Amino acid sequence: MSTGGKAVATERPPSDADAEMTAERDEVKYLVASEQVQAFATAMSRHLPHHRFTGEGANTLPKPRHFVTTIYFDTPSRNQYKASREDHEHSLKMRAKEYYDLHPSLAELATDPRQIVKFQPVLWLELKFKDGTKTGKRRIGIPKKQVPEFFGKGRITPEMIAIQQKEYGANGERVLREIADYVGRYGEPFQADCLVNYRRLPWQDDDGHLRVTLDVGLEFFAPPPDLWQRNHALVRETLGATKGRQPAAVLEVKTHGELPAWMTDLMTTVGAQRSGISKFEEASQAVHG
Amino acid sequence: MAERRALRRWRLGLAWGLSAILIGGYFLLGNDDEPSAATVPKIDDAAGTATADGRLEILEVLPSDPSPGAAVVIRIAGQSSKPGAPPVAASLGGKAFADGKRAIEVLSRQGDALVVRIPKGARAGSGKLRVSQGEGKDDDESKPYDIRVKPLKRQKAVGGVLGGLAFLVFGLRTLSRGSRAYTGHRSQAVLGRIGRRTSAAVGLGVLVGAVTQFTTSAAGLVVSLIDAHLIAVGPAVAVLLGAHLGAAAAPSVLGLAASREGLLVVTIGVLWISLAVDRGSEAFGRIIFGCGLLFYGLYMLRDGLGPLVADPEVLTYIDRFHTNTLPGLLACVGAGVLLAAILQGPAPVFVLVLGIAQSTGRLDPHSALAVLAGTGLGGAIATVVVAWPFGAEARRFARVHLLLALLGTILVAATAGLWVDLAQALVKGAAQQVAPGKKILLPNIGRHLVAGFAMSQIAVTLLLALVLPGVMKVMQKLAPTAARVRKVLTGKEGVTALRAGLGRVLKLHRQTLEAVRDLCLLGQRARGREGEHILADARAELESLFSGAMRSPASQPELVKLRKAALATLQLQRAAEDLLVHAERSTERNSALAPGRGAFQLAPRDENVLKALHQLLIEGLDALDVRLTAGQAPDIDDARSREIRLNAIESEARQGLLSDADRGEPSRLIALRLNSTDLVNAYESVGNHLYRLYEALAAEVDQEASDDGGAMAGG
Repeated sequence: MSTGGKAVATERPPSDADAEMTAERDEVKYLVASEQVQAFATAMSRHLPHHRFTGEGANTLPKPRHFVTTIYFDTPSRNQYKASREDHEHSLKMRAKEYYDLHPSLAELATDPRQIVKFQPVLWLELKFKDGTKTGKRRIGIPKKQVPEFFGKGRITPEMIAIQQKEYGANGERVLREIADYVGRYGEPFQADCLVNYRRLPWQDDDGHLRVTLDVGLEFFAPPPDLWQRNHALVRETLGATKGRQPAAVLEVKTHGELPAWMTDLMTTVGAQRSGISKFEEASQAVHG
Repeated sequence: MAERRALRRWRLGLAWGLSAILIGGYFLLGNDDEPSAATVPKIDDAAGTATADGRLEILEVLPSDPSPGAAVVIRIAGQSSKPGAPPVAASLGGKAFADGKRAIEVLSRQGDALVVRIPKGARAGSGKLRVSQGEGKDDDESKPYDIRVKPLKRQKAVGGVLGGLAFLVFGLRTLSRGSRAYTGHRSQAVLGRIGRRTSAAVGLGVLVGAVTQFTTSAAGLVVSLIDAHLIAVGPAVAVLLGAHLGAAAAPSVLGLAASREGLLVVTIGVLWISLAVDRGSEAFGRIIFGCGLLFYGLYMLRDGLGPLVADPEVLTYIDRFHTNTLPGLLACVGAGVLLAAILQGPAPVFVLVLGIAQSTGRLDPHSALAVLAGTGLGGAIATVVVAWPFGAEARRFARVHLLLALLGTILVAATAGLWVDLAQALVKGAAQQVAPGKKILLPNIGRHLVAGFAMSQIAVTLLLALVLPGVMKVMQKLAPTAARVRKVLTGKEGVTALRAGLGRVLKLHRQTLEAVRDLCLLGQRARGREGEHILADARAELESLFSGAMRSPASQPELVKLRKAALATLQLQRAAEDLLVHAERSTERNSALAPGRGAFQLAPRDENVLKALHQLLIEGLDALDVRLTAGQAPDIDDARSREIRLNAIESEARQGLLSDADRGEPSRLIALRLNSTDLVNAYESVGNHLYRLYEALAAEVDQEASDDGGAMAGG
């Protein structure tokens, strides 16, 4: 756990609704102009509850601001980037996400930046595949410091297996092994390629049929040298110089059925533009050119 | 706990006991100023006391050392009181005039007393005073009575008048502040409830005026009630009309009754302040202290006014204030308006007019009342100044009050003669009766003036209260015209104006911080004063900006954001003002702790801490100013980092102090460091408010914002 002792994540999979949503579903992305973000957020809050992770180790402090730092992996020859660019409809991405909550209201009391950040030192590694409009994920948790060994040598530790037990039960080790084997097939090591940091505004209905996330303030960074040695969260201020920004907010609508009419109307009102934006591609391009 | 409670009771009891002893002891000593046979000639109304040789004779002259222009009482014997006997005349000779003896002006003849005025051209030195009755033959004239004409001490007299006025105004201010502190917010709410009904508002106003003393203080209170929507404009005007009456009445009555005992009351006030056990008893002490200063000021004023206005040079000017001509009447009213506007109410003007009338006899009751008639309008002008920055409603209130005060002034000025006659009929003793005491020539005029002024004010106030609803309707019709000229910040122009204004305020805050740094690091007190002036400029700019921002429509997201920023900047301003106060205090203490003259210094560690805090705040202000000027959202992440760094430095400073104490560092060093702690806290507080300003201006999305929560635009 973090220095704060309590873990927080908005997309960890402990609840049934979250599990439902993590399974295969329709996922569509839109871009929303920054001027419309507040109007959109205000309207969304009228229809859907603000989604907060309430499972084990959840952050219960009021008014958190959820942030995500995503580490995208690639080979030195940028295999993943090229594959993604060549076929937008069919791709496979590997990324690790660190979720952290920021509490700006504590800033006036804090004597260390870490005191206003709540996070889990476990990275959630995702294999994300895309086939047309169907997307899916496999998600595994790895202690941050063990990531280089896992990708470099395929090393699996008892600690890693223990983390997977909650989601995969006895199959945890098998899932880890599958991923390690997949990574090994490339013939060159996987390494952190680029980072994306953004604030996430999540909403989700009670039965898990509709989840809406709005990612704002997307900024792209090169991996810092001490990426895997850090004991604290990958907060924006510690990631070094920004390599690029996405001015619009990225709206992701994940649903198992039809979109409700109010949602369609709202997207029309705020002028949401459907987009095939890939955070990975934008970040990798910003970092490597 | 019980011990402290007992100690408080004991101190309070001591205050009451000592007050009683002081008052009792003072009056047991007797009244030094009481006119006695030894100091003032006894006037025998049964004139015609015979002398041995049947000739006129001067028995006594008081004072025997008058200045040119002063009134002198001559007690005579041997005058004829037969019907058709010529009046007694007086002359002055000796060294007083180079060309010999001259007849002098007789102000009053009553029984065996003659009141004369020493002529303007009388030279200093010995003089021979004579009285005569008849054709001027030797037998008709008394033997000379030696007096000494002393030179007029104008400087002393002017000093007395100015000092008296200063004591008077300061006394009224102290009384006003003490009263406000004693009554407090709870009473203010009660006042608000009473004042909602117009009928009770006038009575409430009399009370408010009597307590607050200044028309501006009463206006401030009423404006705050309007601002808090506790009272409507109509009743508020009625309250202020009553307040004018109350403010005039209280010092008039108190001043007449107890001006000689001013220093005793001051002593009792100081006693209460010294023994105060809480804010309530301290406020009570301040009320007494204020009363004492007021009384003493009045006493000094009379003391100084006597010789000053008796100065023939000055008498010429005072004589112009006479209602027997239209320009004279206008001069009287104009003087009242001007004095009340400057002195912020009728009370000081009343005291001044009374002093002149009593000690010179040159200002008749009619003219004095005409001067006092102007105080209503003068007070209303002062009210306009107070109410104007408090928004449209307060300004409407000020306009209505100004109109009514103008009507009231015209009415009182036009009917002054009526009120003088009424007072003459009701009050015992003629107003113009000369009965000289040590300081006062016309003792009755005070009662006449109080009666006339009070009756005129009551009548006019009631009349104005009756016409108030009609006036309100007329003003209502005129209001849309006034609304057109209000400056409201709207659209792009409003955004630009607010951004530019906030930028200017931030620059002034930066200059203040520079001044504070020089003050507390180098002990440069002059820089503290500069900081105070800069902050006053910043506050004026900010309040004007804030007023414009508050009137801007809430539908424009960027303006909504800037309104929030204006509010946050106002709080930043308060924190900066607190910082300056702490810096001044800290510098004073550090100077006291310095080992030798000119060896002002801080503990080295504190010096570094203050420099670091200063630098972080300057960086924050500069960065924000740049973004504001460029029309961009500020970097909230950087601001947050600075804020946390400020907190860390403050925390480290506190820990460092404890460590030093644990290590047994010299007590002077510990005292120096302890002194800096408050200053460090004040710096940190400025940092907090600067961070809040960043938050207000940042384009942070509020996920839980409601529809009426004032949505901010992203980007």
